[in-house]
Amino acid sequence: MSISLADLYRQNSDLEAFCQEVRKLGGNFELDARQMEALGQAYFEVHPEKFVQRNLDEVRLGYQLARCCLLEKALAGLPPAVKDFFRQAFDQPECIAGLLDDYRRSENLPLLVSSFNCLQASLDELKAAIDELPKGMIKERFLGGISTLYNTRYLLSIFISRLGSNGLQN
Amino acid sequence: MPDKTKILVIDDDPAICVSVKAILEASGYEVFTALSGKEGLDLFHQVDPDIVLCDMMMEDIDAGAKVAGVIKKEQPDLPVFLLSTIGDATARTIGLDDLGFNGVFQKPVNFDLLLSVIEKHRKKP
Repeated sequence: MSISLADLYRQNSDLEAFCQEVRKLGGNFELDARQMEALGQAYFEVHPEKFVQRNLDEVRLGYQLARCCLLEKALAGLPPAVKDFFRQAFDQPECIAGLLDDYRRSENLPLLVSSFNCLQASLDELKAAIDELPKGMIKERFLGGISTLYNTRYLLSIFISRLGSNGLQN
Repeated sequence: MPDKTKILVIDDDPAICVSVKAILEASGYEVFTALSGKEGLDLFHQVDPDIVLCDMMMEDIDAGAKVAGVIKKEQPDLPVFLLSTIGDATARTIGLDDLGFNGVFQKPVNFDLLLSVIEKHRKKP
């Protein structure tokens, strides 16, 4: 039985260490609404929410935490080279055009496009799970986390469509 | 050629700012970003934007409303849109007009819709 993300976070409350552990799981973890809520509770045990003079660094950790888990889950099952490309693209959306140029020179572009379609479907499933969460700060962090992923997905779709059919044949 | 339409994006999540900026720049806009309401108001006075997109919960839970209030007092006609996770039902009940917003876009933002709204405010040649 795989470890829950909430337990993993309690063992690794440093964000970078936690995200490294999550990446090692290769998407082999549950991330339904119940698991999101448990992870959110573990996060708020370390970083309690305030409503005035909020500590924005702590708030941002919550978004990063959610984003890391959501992205790794969405990437589950994709080929390693594609995963690496998407990790970079979601980490640096402002560099997508260059990353895509580099990728198409050395890797299989149609595979990237078909993987992107799978990724989009996975993100939609995760968004549906977030919608099941009760209204509150845990839901807010996950919505913040997936919003960035949706934004970058939109940007990727623009640049991939600009490649056109000629680009996909190269 | 007219100057590019300037958009100020205010959100406490740097990843949101970077990704929204990248999308808007790819659509031909000049974009400035701020990571808090206070920083947003400072930048507002520096860059004189044509449109403002602002989150609600930042350093305070109602920081976005405070920003919109100040902007509307100084420039009542400037379009200010809320980008938020508050949900449609809440958005309908909190009186966005009274808070100074011209409209709300729920996160994750529908960019086809947002860009069509922004396009209406683009500087004309």
